[in-house]
Amino acid sequence: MMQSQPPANGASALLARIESVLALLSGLSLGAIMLIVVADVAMRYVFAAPLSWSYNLIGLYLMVAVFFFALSDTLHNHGHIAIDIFQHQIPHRPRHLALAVGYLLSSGLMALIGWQAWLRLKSAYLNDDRIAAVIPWPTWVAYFIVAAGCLVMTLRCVYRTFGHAASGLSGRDLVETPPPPETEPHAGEGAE
Amino acid sequence: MTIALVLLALVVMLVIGLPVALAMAVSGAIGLYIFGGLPVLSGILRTSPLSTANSYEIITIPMFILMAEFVIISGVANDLFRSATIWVGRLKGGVAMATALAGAGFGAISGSSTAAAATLASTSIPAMMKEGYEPKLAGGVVAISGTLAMLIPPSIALILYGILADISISALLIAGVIPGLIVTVAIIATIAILVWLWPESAPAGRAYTMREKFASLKRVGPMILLFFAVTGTIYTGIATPTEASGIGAFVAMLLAIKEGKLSLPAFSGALRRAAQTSCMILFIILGAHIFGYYFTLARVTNDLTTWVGGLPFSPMTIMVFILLGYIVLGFIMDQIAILILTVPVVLPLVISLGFDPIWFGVIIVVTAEVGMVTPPLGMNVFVVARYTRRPLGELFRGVMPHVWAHLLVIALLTAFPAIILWLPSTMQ
Repeated sequence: MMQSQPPANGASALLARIESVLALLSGLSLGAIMLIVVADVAMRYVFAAPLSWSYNLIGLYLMVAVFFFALSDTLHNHGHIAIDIFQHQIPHRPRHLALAVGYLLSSGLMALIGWQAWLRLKSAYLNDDRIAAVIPWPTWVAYFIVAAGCLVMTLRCVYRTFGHAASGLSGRDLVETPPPPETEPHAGEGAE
Repeated sequence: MTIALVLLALVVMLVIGLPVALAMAVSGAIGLYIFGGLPVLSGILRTSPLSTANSYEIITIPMFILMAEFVIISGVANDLFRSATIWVGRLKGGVAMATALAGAGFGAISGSSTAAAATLASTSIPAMMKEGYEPKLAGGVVAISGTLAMLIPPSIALILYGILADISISALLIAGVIPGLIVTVAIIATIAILVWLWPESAPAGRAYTMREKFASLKRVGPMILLFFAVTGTIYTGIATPTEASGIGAFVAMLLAIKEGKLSLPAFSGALRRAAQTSCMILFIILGAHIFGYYFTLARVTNDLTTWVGGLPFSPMTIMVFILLGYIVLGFIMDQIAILILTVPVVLPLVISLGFDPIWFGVIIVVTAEVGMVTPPLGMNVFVVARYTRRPLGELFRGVMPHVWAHLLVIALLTAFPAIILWLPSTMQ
C-alpha cells in the first residue's frame, strides 16, 4: 500500500518531479510488456507466427526500464520494504545519524553502479554494440536506462544523507520518514 | 572476522530502518571490497544490476502484481464473498466460512496476501458485524484467509522462490494448489470448532433458495475465467508461467473495463503501483545477489552446509529447526525479504539433506504465512485492524486458533511430502 509522499522541501520536490517522469516511463513499460506478451501468444496460436522481437525487447529494454526507472520514485514513496518495528524505539538523534551513514554508503554504492553502467554505455555506443538477433537492438540503450535510473537514485540517497544528518544534528524531522507502523490502537479513530 | 563485520553491518542497517535491499547491497559491497578490493566490487556491480532485470522470465512477477491491481479495481472480488455466503450461509458461522472460501477464490486470481486481506476485510467484516459475529472471530478469519493468496497460484512468493532456487515455476505453482485447499479446509474446520465451543460468537445461519444460489454464480463466472486463463493454462502446459501472467493481467484489465471501473487515473495508478511493487522486489533480489556473491566468495554457504551435515541429527530434526527458524523470522520480517535472504543459503543445505526443492518451497511459504498473522509484524492483522478499528491485541487473539490449525497443517505437509508433490507430478 504505497501512499504519495509529499516532498519535505524544494530539493526533494524537484527530485520528485524527475522521479514522477521516470515512474511514468516505468509504468508505460509495464503496460507495454503486458500487451506484447498477449500479442505474442495470440500470434503464435492464431497465426503460428510468434513475434521474433518480443523476447529481446522485453528482456533488454522494457524490464530494465520497469526496474531502474521506478527505483528512486519507490524510495521516495517508502515503497522499498524496511524493517520498521525497531526504528521507532531508537532515540531520534542516533537513529537519524545512523540513517545518514546508511544513506551515505548507499549513495556511494548507487553512484558506483551508475558509473559502471556509464562506462559500458560509452563503450557500447562508440563500438555500436548490438545483440545477435533477428533485430540487432543496440545495447547502449539498456546501459543508458541503468545509468539514468542510478543517477536519480544516487541523488535521492545523497538528499536523504543530508536530510537525516540535519535531522540528527538539529533534533527535528527535516526529511521524509515512513509513517509509523500500525502497532498501536488507532489514534485517528473515525478519521477516514 | 570479515564475515562477522559484514553480518553486523547488515543487522545494524536493518534495525535502523534502512530499506532491506540497500542494507543487503551495502553490507555485501563492504564484504566484497574487503575481500578483493575495488576491482572485484566494481566487476560485480558492473554486471549484476542489469542482469537482475535483464531477464524475460522475471516479468511473471510484475505481470501478476498488475493482474491483482486490475482485479481489485474491477471490484469483482467482492462478488466472490457474496456468492460464497449464499452457498454456505445456512451453517452456523457460515459467513465466516464464506470468508475463507472467498479468500481461496481471491487467492486464485491474485498473488498478494495483504491485497487479499484488504479486499476481504472491506466486504466480509461489515457483513459479519451486521449479522452479530464477535469481532474477534470475524477479524481473525479475515486475517488468516488473506494468507491463502500466497499459496494458491498465482503466488508471488512461490514464483520468487522458483527464480531464486532456479527450479520450474510451473511445477511450484501447481504444487501450491492442494496445500492451499487443505489450509482452506483447516480454516473452515477451525471456525466450526470455535462456534461449537462458543455458540455466542456467531449467529445462526440463514438459508438461501437454490435459485438464489445459482443466480449468485453468474457473477463468479469472470473469476473462474481468470483462474483458468492462468492456472489452467500453466497446468496443461498450454502457456508458460510468463505467458500466463501476461494473459492474466490482460484479462483482468478487460474485466475492469467491462465493469466500467477502469478510468485513466485508475489505469495509470495501477501501472505505477505495480511498477513500484515490482521494483521493490527486484531491488531486494539485486541486494541479495550482491550479498550472495560475497557469501559465495567467502564460502559461507559451503561451510554452513558442511557443518550442519556433520551434526549428529537426523535430516528431519534439522528440518524442524529450519522451519522453527522461519516462524521466528516471520515474526519480525517481511515474507519476501525472508525468502530472498535465506533461500540462497538454506536451499543447498536442504537439498544436501535429501529434501525435494519443490516441497521445500511450498513448506516455507506455508510457514511464512504464520508470520503474516502473528505479532509484532502481522501485516494482515494490521490491515484488518484498519477496517474494523478494533484493538490489535483482540485481533491477534482472534487469529490464534487459526495459527494452531496452521501449524498442524505444516506438520501434516512435512510428514507426508506427497500431498505437495503429487499434483505437479501429473503435469504434462
